[in-house]
Amino acid sequence: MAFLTEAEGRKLAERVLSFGSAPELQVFLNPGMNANTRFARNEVSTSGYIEPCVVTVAAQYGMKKGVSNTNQLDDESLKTVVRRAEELARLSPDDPETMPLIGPQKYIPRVGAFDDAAKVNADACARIAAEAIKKSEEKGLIAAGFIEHMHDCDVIANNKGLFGYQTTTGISYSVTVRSPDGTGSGWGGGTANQLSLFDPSSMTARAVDLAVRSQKPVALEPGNYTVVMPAECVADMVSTFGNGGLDARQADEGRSFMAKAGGGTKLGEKMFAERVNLYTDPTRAECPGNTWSGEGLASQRIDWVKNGVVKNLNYSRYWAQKQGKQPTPGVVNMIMDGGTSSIDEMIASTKRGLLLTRLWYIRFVDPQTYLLTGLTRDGLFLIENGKVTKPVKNFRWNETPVKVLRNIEMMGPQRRVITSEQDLNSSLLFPSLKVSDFTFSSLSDAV
Amino acid sequence: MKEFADIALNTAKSKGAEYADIRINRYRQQFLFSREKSIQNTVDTESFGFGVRVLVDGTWGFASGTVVSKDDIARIAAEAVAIAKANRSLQKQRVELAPTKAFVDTWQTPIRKDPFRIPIGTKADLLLAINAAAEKGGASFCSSALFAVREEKIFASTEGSYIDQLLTRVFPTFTVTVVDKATGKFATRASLTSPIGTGWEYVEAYPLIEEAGRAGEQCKEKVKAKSVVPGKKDLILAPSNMWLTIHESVGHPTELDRALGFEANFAGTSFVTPEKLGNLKYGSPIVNIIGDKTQPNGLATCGYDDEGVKTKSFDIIKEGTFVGYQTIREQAHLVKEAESKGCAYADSFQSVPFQRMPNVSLKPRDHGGKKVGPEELMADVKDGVLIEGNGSFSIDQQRFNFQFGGQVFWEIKDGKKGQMLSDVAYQSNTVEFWNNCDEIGSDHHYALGGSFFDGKGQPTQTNSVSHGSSWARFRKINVINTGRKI
Repeated sequence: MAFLTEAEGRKLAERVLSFGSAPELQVFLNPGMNANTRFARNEVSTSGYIEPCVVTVAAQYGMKKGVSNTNQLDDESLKTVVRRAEELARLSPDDPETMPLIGPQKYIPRVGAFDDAAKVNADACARIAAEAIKKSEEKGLIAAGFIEHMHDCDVIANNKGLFGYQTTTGISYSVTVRSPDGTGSGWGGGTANQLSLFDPSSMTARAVDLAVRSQKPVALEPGNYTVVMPAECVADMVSTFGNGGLDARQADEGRSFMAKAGGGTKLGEKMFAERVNLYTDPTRAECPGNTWSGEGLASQRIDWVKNGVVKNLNYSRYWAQKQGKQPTPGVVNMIMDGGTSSIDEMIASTKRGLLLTRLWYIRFVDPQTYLLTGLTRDGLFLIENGKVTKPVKNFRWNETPVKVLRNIEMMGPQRRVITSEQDLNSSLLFPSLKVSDFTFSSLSDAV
Repeated sequence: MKEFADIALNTAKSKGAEYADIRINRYRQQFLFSREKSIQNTVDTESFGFGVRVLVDGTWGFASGTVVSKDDIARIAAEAVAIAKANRSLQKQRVELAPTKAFVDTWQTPIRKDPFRIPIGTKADLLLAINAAAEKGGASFCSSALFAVREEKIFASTEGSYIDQLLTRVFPTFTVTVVDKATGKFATRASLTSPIGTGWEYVEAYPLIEEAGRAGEQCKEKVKAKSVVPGKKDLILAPSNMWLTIHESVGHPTELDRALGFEANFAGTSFVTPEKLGNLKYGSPIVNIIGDKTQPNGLATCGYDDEGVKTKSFDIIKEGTFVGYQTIREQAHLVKEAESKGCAYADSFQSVPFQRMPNVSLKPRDHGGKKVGPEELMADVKDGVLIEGNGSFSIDQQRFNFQFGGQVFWEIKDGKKGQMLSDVAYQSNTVEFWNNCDEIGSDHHYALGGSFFDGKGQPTQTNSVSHGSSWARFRKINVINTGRKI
């Protein structure tokens, strides 16, 4: 089942709901297609095409609840998945945090599906791979990459009258180009919901250029440097706020970098530089967010940080009710306002610093200070007296995005980016930044 | 199911495939999540389908379906052949499969109690009891979870194999948090339990409630613990910490597909390049590390891999020297080996099998029957840190430079375990680290740790894998202080 129209989605959802008897029953459907082409060592390695459809059923009996899902769509399987969800709910103890299902919502029109991207096929992916291989071979380099495209829809419905339908298209690409002697590596990548905003050739060109220029790096001493961070690096660090960092409950409970000593949260405090504006806006066509959040609430624009001040935290329905607040529909995309400085202007203004390409293997070290660790990868360059002078060896860094967002010296324009461990449908729009006093703690020999 | 499998294999051959295999798999998973007095979610998932892989003129084609019927299996098998033919012009080197015997066999994870037959109420009660014990021990908060997984897998190939396997895994876990409201400081302490390849009997036997109470107490101590003084220190690492260090610094670098560049765009390559096979001094002479998909209770343990190769144990590091990669059928010949080591795995019927980590474990040291554990290893440590549990982990894309944390840390001074420490992480270079391993405990202290969710590949696939070790000692490792002020 590659796809469902809205009418077909409604019909299937109603059929699933008709099989249940729980007082509260909700169903999620996400049929679609996802295809990919992978290449390495300058040849195509694997390709895949799948048409999954997961049917998820959530049942509630008062304060008891259970969830079940299946990928089988015959009536017997659908009856089984409903029965299983209801059994789980009946057998579960009361959950004092259970919230009643929500009723009809007014969802904004979805801006995430485009005809041009829906028509992408395996031949188009093969052409992207072939160009990367050709451009790399021309320079005596070795390419590895991944192209993925998808077209799917999501349906949410319940027996309280809620119904939602949205469609999504997407294409993403990333490529790593390395020198045969293993001393140089470059990277390029990006994603878009619409093909007209997707330019794989420039991504390939960037990776090839970096692979040439990053060869034979020299070692620098670890320490604190001014850094020029492309938008990918900024998103890699700052977008992690969306994975619980903005959670109101964690902050209220005192176990978040958003909590204050003595109780309370940093809501309303100026935590970051004046020019930091961080928000969710599902209506941005170049970086759309889902129409609804995980709890089914209609997505909307929410300012998380405005002019450096923490304006909102993310309240689940349960926590909002307990705290007497309005629930927030969640972080369905993350956008940071940018500036007008180009990367070249940032370099030109730097006496001594480092130009990054991307970050890698980013993990939490300490949630108290939001300290992260990770590495640089695929091109790190020394800037001296306003010019890039030489490639340097990679570093491990230990740094918190809180400090990064305080130490901004220059900002570039926004760009849709993918992060180091997420490709397709990363809904992240971030600027490049020039940041002072970034902490590199040790050298890495990795290329 | 054999009739269905034959339809796929015969269709593929009739369409021009020189080799074909089919995997018909059913996956069942059950998860329970809780915090404090709330069972927050109870989830039961099931998926069923098949994947057909074919070789046409040395080029792979793969397609999968979710309707397990004769018509759909024939259609998908033909589609796999069509994809292989379409990809043929892009292939520069023919895929060559190392030979394997044909097996007609069944295998299943030895379990005494099927986790899916344990009542939901029993599971929920256990989680709530864990949370209550943690609170009694002093925790401000406790989250706990139970995971159970069952894979029913049929593999059949045109070489004559027909293998039916049933794999079971369970994972109980919890995390306690203590908040010191006055100072605004908070600390967490995760369970030292491991996911494991066995049945509910593991959950019953592991003292989860007792450990939750202890974790609450330790977390209270941790939030006020002395911040570590950084520097070169000796480390005494528990098996609950060692497993992740083995996983990241030995498991991944010795994957042949990484070493050859197949993973360059995502996970990266490896410093363990093929010319180092047989001569890299990876560790000190006491370091012996094996790959083993037959290890009892291992998460990656099975009878046959997802190419129908019989699993086995093999050396990766022998007496400190790197001697063997993890391999699959199509890559064995690239390091001049005659057969695969049985390391192919796909996380779904709709995923392409590729090289995934077997259980990779550090052999305990033979101390002539004497029990050697943390007390003995600490005895001649002047300035060190003892670490239990796995924490923050990060390693570069060629697996040279790593930084690992833990759950609880104790100062070691003049051979004695002292006060608890906070803000600890250790940073090192893989080869330097393993060459600084100067003692390993005895098998009396050997234990398995592991990951339920090890990611690799594009699109990312998840593998479950165990790592066993005893306690071990590493000299003069760089310990950093991770404390900051914001």
